[in-house]
Amino acid sequence: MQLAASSVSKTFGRSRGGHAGARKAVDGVSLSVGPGDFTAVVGESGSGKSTLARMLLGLIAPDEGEVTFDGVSLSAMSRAQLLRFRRSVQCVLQDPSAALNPRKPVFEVLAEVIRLHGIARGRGVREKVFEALELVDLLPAEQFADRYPHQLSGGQRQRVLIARAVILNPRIIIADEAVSALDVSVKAGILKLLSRLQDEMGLGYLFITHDLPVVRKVTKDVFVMRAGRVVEHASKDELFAGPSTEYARELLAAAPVPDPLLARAWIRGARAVR
Amino acid sequence: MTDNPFVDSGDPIPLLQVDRLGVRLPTGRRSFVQAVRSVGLTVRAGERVGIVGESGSGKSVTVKAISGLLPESPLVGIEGSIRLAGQELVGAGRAAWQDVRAKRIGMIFQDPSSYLNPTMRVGAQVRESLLAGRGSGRGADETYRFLELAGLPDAREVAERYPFELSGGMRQRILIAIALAKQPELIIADEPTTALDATVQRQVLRSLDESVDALDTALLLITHDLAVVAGLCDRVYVMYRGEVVESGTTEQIFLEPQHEYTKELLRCVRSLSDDSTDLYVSSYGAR
Repeated sequence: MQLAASSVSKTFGRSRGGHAGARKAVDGVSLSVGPGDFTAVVGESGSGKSTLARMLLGLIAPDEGEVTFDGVSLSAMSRAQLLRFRRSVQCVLQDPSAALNPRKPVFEVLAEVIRLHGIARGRGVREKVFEALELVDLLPAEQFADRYPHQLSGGQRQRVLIARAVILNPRIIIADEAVSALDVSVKAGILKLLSRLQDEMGLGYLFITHDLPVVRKVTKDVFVMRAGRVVEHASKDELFAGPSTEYARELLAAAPVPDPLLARAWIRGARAVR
Repeated sequence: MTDNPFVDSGDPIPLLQVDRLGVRLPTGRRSFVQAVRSVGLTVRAGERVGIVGESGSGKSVTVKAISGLLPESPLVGIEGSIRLAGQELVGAGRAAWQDVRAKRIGMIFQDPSSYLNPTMRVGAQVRESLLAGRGSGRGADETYRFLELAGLPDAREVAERYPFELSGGMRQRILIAIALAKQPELIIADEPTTALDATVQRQVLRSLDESVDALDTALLLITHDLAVVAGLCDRVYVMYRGEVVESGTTEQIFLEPQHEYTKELLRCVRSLSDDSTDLYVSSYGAR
């Protein structure tokens, strides 16, 4: 049940002016993730990590290379295989306020997925919805089921998105900046939820983020991307013990520390303008 | 908390004095929320003060009230006092606010794209701010000076660019330059680096640090990021659910926090950035 990218590349049209230039968004990237993995893809804006995620989800096609799931290329899948792929590989994205339809209560958000994939029917739908809400600790489930997105906090909305992703019992979840927009007091709770779900369901995660300190907390394996390429790949422990590339070292040094003395030195030590 | 331990009778009038500020915002046709509740804070000339809080803390609404940027609607209720160098601003007319924003308070917001004119070269936007501001400089050189102060060394070249040609970090520095060009008494920065990558954030914060120093302006920095406050501010106000729950010097807040929420916030932040794989889950976060 491996989801793999083999030397994928993606270029978006011609250069449209601006400072970005005519670079490939993703340039020859290979990686794979399977159940039980907790793999991070770390990079800054423009690194290509989100484009890579979209290719792995089959939302856009690579210009070069291929994405395979269970050994079968996405571009060569039959309808049945694609359906199975969609159930097995789910995503949790960053912006909860954009990802949820403001006119649908939580119940509908989850029921929609259940009905679409024929997981349950009639009364069974309600049971499944409550089960999912309990799984992500949105209790009491009945209360949360009736709420609209604007009535939920950021952390609660993220739990709904996670519930939506796990309802289909996927093997792999691609999380793109899943906790970046959350308050500090809420982040840990969501990260713990993700870890627990992995333990209980045997999930694999591809965790895309620019936040290195968070990577240290939950992931096992790290890919560092820059300008469309993977510049470093190491286990989490190896990376944090001592990255082998200058860029990864720079990323580590850029993480702010919440301590007055250190933070002041950290700001003053910033390199001159880029 | 309404008492302000930093103002005593011997001090000159503080640059910014906020007392018992309350803001009520409409949330529907007939419902309201008390977004800010009896908030008091002080910023003295040349001081760097931070307001730290998470979503729903009321920090952004407080700052909008201080900058006169709350919607002009009868449904929005503001009470209390906001005094800039002694001049009361609550209830002040539009002309008074415009004068304040043009000359006395420079603002830097989180999202430069919303605040930069996409059809105007950035140098011209800095110049516009310069001409409306307090200084007497008028020429192109003055414009370049502020661009450089904001951390953009190729000022002549950058001045000719349009916002879309610049990276996020550079656009943020343009906002800094625009704020500086007014030569304001106070710069208010609301989440100035939140949308930027960590490496760029560090550099922009350094630019902000140095330019505020160079102009000797006061700084009111609003952020959810304790590390940013730790690096830039002398004093901190911690806000939670519309109120100031604690205030003190940066050292006091980080090393001797008093309020339970401040302590929890520090535990969460430290847990997220330490070397271990443990994660501290706060009960404040079970919302």
